[in-house]
Amino acid sequence: MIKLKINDQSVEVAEGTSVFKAAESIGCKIPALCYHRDLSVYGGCRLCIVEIKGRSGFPISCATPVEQGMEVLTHTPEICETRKNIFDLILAYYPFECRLKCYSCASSNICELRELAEEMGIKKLKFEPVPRVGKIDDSSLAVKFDSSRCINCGRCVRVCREVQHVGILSPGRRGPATQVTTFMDKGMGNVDCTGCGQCLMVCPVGAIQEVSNIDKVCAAIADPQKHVVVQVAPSVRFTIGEEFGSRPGENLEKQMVTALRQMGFNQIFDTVFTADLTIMEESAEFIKRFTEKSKLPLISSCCPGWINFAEDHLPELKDNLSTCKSPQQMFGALLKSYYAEKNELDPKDIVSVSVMPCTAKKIECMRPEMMQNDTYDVDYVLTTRELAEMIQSRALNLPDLSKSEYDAPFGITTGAGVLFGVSGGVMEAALRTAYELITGEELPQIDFDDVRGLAGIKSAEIDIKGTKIKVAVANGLENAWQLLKHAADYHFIEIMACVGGCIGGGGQPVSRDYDILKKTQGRDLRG
Amino acid sequence: MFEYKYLKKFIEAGPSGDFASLRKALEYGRDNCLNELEKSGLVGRGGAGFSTAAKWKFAWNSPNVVLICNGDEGEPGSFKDRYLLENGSFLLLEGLLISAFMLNSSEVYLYVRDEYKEALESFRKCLDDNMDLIVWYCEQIDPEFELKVISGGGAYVCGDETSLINSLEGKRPHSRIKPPFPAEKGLSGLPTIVNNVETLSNLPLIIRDGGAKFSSLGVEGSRGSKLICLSGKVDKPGLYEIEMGKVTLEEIVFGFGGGCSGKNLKFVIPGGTSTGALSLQELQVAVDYDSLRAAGTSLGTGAVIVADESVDALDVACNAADFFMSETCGICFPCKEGNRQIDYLLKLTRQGKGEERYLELIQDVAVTASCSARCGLGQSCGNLVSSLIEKFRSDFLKHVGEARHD
Amino acid sequence: MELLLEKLHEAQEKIGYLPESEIIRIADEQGLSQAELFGIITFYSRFYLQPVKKFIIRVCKSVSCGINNATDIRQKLEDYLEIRDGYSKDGLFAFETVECLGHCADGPVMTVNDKVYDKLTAEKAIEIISAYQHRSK
Repeated sequence: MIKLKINDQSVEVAEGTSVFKAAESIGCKIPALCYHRDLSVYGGCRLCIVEIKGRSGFPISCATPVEQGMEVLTHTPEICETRKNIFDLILAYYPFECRLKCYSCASSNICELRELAEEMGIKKLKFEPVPRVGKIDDSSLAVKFDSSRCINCGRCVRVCREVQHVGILSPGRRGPATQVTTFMDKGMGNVDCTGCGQCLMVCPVGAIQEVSNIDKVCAAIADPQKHVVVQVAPSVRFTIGEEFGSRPGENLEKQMVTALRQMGFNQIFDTVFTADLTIMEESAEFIKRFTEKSKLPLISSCCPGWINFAEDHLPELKDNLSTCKSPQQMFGALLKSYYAEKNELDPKDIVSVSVMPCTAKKIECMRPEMMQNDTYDVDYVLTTRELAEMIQSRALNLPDLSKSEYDAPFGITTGAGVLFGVSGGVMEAALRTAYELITGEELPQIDFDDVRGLAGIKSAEIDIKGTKIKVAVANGLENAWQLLKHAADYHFIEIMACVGGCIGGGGQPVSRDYDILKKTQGRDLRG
Repeated sequence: MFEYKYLKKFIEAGPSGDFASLRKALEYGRDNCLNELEKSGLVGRGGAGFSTAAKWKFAWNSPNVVLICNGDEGEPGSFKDRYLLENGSFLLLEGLLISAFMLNSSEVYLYVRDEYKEALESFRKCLDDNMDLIVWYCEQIDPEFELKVISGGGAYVCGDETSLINSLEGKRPHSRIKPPFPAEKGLSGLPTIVNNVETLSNLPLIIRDGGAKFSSLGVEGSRGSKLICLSGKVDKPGLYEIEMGKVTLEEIVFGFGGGCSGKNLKFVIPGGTSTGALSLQELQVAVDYDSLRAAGTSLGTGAVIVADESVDALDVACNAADFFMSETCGICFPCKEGNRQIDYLLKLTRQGKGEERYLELIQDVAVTASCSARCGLGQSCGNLVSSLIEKFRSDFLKHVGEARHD
Repeated sequence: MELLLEKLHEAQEKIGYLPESEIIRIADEQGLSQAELFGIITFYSRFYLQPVKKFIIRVCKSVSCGINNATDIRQKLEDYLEIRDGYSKDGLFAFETVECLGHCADGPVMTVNDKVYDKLTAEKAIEIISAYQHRSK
């Protein structure tokens, strides 16, 4: 343990801790912008500078390890002045409409520039705004990158490279033209982007947004000709509350149904229904493959971020992927066939909407194989954030609404499908069903704790009445990559592209709380 | 005004082919050579002026030391390294081998900017002509030894040692966070010594004549001779060698340079665009690292640029700001956004759209960058502009509130 | 083991520039993502992503040359060649304004395909360029 002083207060932390983190541990928040707890140290914003007795200049606290007897000052007048100047210089090259006029900005609630301005007491800017011509990359179906809002902090680059093993973003050029971009400036939609949206989640200023379908969905609802059906994914109900100030993990399912009804959706269904179907299909598929000892391991396919990644980087695993459609797509297919027929509707008059914790789902629904009779099974995907925005623009305060039930018949579900929201959830649900099918008995115990949790890679050996099944779960694509090097060791693998699974999806409410996934998962996702 | 030719004399004498200094070094042994290097008081000639022996001692006796010779001379006003490569490759080659021997380094790189085609050709030819020597060195001293000559890709910032290392590693050549310093952890995580071409060219002289002789030249903290690149509005621009501390800036400009062809001198930039300008009244200063630092500027690379009364300080400031803005590696905010702001404010001023308060804003940015930027480029980018605003304020003010048509 | 810089120079020397396919190949060889290699290449001034013209003129604009009238020379040369978007009207030349070329005592200076021409005046520069034009006919 190392003892040091920060602003005259004694601190004791483990060796190797950075001065930045040591300060954090005593509630002293040093301003920072390029720093992210889960990414490598970048050292670019220079806002986290401190004064250390005996050292000249202003070292950056994020990259300085603590030393015995160190004396650190974090907010001297000179440092505060320097920080203000750096911040002001960043704002000088920000879109003219900004200049901290936050009330008019869609990203203001998650913008770290606004947060920093508050922390540093900045109310007025002194440097001259420099004209800026940005570019909007709207080549992707999932996300949109507005480079005029980009401060080049490098977080998106680092998450895409380090956490997702994809690396489609990189800073390019130098000097005034330095800008994060894609290979040959082709645009995210034209390179191997998985659509996972993790770049969006770490962007401090909202330069990356999802491709919005709010207008299209509202137009469909307003169109008397159209029958608008919405399905809601499992994890959305546990996270949408964050946009309304609720505790992470709070289940607002019933209030959400009320809101959807008020907004004018004709039918409101629970994706958990087709999640249940997926489990049944996938369990059957697994048992078949396991019995025939062919095409093992079976690898889950409900995560489109993972599928995009597999298609680009692991074509040799093509035959291992489950042939089941994702719950979203299964539902869409049902709506445009069985449901249409039963309700005597022309499939072309049905607008199939889904609410997902995911941005990659916006790409999945537009795949050519997800169509029948010239209509898409799912027409529009809304992220959790988009739904929250729609609810807010109707001045509805979600937590205060009355509770309603999903519509029947698809509203009937079991608990299993709900687990799709967490990493390990698909696996657990499938194993429960497989157990019943193999043994012919009811499960003695519901929880397979070996595969639940937020650790990046988990594996377990399950004994089902003498039959040993080796399973593994990975969330985050770098973890998936590491796990799949040993794919042959397993019978059944679940991959979720996003760290934490869908609760950490690119469509979820953006949070600056590093522990948000832990907090969300702790609550009752188990139903 | 006579020129103190030490390095130049060695070079003008041409290659003797016997590499006597190298042989002497091998006989002395590594530790004795280090002794001589310490006695010599040699400091880096790339701009920082840091003790070469002190730098080497950080990596002394480390295994797998990498030696990189920095030939990425990009500082506006500087051309001494080009001279050394084109005319004195044999001297540098000997210096590299002596250094490699002393540091126990098997992995040696000479990184030269790609624009220096003649210099690269010259060194490569020298290498070819002396292949026997290399072979002999490999057989007798170090079978793992390899000297690679690498052309840069065209970027001023690669003259910064950590950016250079990133460039060699095949990465985007922005600067690295220090610590760790290269001598501790550099190329591929190995202890790495980066030294300038002129610095390493002095090694053979130190070994041949002994550290004490070298140290008898110059003054405390600035031992030996220095190549001065004189350019701008002078009668006789060119490369001159001086004994550091024994010559003033005034003597260089009017002695070697012959003055400003009849015009009045306005200011002198002593060490390239990263250093502050000195006015006519301030030229009595001795040309050495400490004296120029005390005068509020720096010797830098020894690139002396002279401006006469026909030169507008605002033009020079704009030129420098444009330079730094186009060369910033873009990774740290104070430098990237700071240079953008300085460049913008100066451009506005030039167009007659400036305000007097811009001058204070520029000074603010310069101070912010100097204390918070990540590398030498950012830390020194405001020096020249700041000094020009301070000393020639009227050149800037005369454009305030007046539309100037270029 | 070849360094990335060496590979890039080699490829550019052979082909004249770095086409997309070449960048993909080298990225694969180096274990870099395509975006990352693109980011590295575009940092430098001496690598080209498009086919280059027969002659590349580079005129120095740094402080010493600037003090010695380089701006005027550059302007006159641009006018002479009718430079538009960095290329001459006759399609022979690419025109670049570059930072210090390291010939400060002999400025103003320019290079044509890296051949150095120093102690320039506007007339001399135009003379040199027109010689290139003649030889290309």
